[in-house]
Amino acid sequence: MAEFAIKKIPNDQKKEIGLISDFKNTDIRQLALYDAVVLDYTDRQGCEAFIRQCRGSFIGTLYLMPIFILSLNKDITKTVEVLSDGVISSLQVEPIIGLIDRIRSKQQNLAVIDSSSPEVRIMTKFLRYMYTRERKIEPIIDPKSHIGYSYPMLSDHYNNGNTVEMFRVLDNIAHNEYARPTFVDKLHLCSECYSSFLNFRETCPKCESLDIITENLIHHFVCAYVGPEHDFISDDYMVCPKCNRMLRHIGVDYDKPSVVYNCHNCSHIFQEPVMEAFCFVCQKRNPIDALIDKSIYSYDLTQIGEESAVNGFGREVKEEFDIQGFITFTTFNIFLKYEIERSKNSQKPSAVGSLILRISSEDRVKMGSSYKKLMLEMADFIKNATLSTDILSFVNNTTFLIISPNNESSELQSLLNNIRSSMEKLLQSSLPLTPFKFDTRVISITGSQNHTDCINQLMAN
Amino acid sequence: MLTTYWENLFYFLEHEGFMRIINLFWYYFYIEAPRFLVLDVLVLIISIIPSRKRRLNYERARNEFLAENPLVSIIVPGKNEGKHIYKLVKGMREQTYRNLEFIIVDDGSNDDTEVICRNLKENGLIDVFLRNEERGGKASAANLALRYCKGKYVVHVDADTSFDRDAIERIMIPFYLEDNVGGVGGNIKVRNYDESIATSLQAIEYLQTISVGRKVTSFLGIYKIISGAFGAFRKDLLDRLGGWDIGPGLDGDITVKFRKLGYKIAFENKAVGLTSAPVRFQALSNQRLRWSKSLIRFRLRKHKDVFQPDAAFNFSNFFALFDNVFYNLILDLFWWYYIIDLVLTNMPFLMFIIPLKFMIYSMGTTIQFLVVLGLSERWRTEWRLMYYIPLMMIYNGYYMRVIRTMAYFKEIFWYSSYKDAWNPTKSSQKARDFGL
Ligand SMILES: [Zn+2]
Ligand SMILES: [Zn+2]
Ligand SMILES: [Zn+2]
Repeated sequence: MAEFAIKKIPNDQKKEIGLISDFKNTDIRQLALYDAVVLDYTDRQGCEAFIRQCRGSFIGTLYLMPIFILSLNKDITKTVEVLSDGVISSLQVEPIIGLIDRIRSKQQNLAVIDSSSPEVRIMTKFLRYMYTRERKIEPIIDPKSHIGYSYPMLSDHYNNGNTVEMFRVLDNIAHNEYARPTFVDKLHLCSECYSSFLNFRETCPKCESLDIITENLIHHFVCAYVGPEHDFISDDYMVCPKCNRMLRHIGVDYDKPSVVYNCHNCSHIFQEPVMEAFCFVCQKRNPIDALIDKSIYSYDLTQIGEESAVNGFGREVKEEFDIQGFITFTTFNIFLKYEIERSKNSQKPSAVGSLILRISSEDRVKMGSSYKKLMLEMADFIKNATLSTDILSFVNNTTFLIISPNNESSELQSLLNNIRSSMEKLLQSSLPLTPFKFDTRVISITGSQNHTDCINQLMAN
Repeated sequence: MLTTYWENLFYFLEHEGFMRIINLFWYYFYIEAPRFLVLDVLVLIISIIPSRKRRLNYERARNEFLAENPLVSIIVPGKNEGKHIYKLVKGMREQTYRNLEFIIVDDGSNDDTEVICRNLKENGLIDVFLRNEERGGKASAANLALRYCKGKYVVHVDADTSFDRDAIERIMIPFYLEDNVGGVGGNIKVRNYDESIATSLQAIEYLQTISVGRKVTSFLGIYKIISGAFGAFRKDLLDRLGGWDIGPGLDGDITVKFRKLGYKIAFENKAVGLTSAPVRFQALSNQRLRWSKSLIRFRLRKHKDVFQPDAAFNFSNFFALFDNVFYNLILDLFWWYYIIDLVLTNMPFLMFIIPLKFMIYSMGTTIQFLVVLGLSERWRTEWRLMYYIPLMMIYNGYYMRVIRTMAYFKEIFWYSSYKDAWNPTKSSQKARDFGL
């Protein structure tokens, strides 16, 4: 049955180009047999789902497959447009063969990268797609997305709960200079779930009620009476309640010096309502300054990025999850969340800290495998210096994170200071010419914190 | 040389005789001394005679007030007062009376006032903070506070006033001492009395004219001004009047309006607020010019009906304003005649007359000051001001008189208070159009 789902499109160059119209009955694994495929846009939803399935795969031959859309009036959705390599309006495929060749020849340069880390696999995919397409990746406005934007090739890997991790991958890409970010937009996201589906509204500063009304104040010059507009209303005229004179002319008899808010719930009078952002997804009432500000960028592949797309990330990225006794960043986040929860009901102190090696990415690339060795040495040292109850993680090739469940923040700080001075000696002897610097940060855990805030603070530049 | 001067002076005194001296200084002996010196002493005597009845009545009023525990709204209208507000509200937390509500109105400040007050409000030190982006003048700011306060009583204070711990409690008790009390004035003293000669002299002046002077007028039933710096009012009556009218001198104005409604105005010298007096004579002169202009504007122009014998005529209102107008305006102008006449007719004896006048005046002032100390709760610090008494003749007798006369002329002939930057022009223009 599957055999019938893909029809060959004949062409002069003898390319294997398949046409797919019946998406339900097509198994995407069969695409591997073709040089390129054309998707019939008659079944719009089927087509979109299919192309997302291809690009969402981790198999290189699938996500890098040249895919074209057959649509007579070229009226296709933005998502389909950015995920495809082009739109054609007839089965005349000759014009696209050049593009197919270019993609295929670039694809041949790619070395085999074998990593079990999902983060490495996603980064590889992201960079390789950019590399083979010679195209920048631009966020597209997407009302169905949790944050209002989606990144082709990337967003489908992250559901609503994992938006943080998507941003971390993007930050990682920019930080390591694999791709050059160009500012596109600024988002304000729910501090709990990273959603941008927010309702901004004014509330009473005293009781948080939403049931507030606003009214102009009126100042009647001649008698100095000041009151809200409704004090002055009498049938069709505006009449001063103090002196019974009629208000005729704004600026001459009276003016409106300001506005007041009146809370219907607690009858509080005020002029500065408290703004809050209600999240439609998790229903959290966010104070405005608690919202997470996130910039959205488009990405251009750099030289380093191209190199990494072809040959992989040296040793560095791949190894970050492989140091024994060190947990992944995602797991670390979960532990930190639990630790914050725990400290709500506990008197015992606990702290979280970071030790960051600041070294330029060029130097790191230059060092190649010796950088990895150095990191492993450092990891060993840290493991020995800390308690078995401490939770350790290694992130971004440069950052060690530590949750210390039974320590005061001052104890953790002095521990990190000791580690730092030993590390500095170690690095000075092994890398006498490379400029570097260590940063340490410590936060004592209280029940009221947000784990993302903590992490951001610990990892900030 | 010196000895001959003294010999001549004594000869002069002996030769002239007692009555002649009194007649020479008739202005002081017949006009000023009876009104100020004699009445002061009388009131002191009455006040310090222990009275069981009075004490019990006071106790009853206090208990009644504390049992009722009414909400008291403290309203603070002002422009660019932010720097004082923190101290004010912190100080207010020390008050013995706790059921208070704070309403601050920022009348178009162009400094940090707004930031400070919003902050204090966030921290719960202020209950209501309202700001007019457009300045409207002091009366409109007070009226805005009045519109939104919820207390049974309203205490109007200036931002730079600070208070004794029991000041709010004390100022409320007169409402319960007698029926029909509509407003109570607090006692205002000078906080920075030792900052300069000007402030020391003002401190003495305040003690004489407020602490004792108002006790006297209150005693006589002709007390006429509740100072804006510290005054308490019944909220229902303020609402009936629609609050304050355009100033300057709005505190005197509102008091007259209360009296016209038929309510009593009391003075409580035990409710003490301290204010900062102008440190330099220049600033003091400007302040007094403004105050004195309001005498013409409000006593003679706006409330001239008090002097007209019609249905609403009331003797105590008449005397209250008459006392004010007579002693401050008419006699002030009369005094110039007196002093010029004194100088011209006694030209050869001036070298005797001047020191003599000085001695007599200082003796009078000293007696008055003893009355002040007799009535004061903080006489242990205030007695030191005695050293400045010799300067009071120049301060009260000449300096203030010159200022007052200047103000009267400016206001009578040029309506100068309507041009005062103290009010925004939009309000002054209207006030003038309507003859307010
Ligand atoms: Zn009016
Ligand atoms: Zn409310
Ligand atoms: Zn949310």
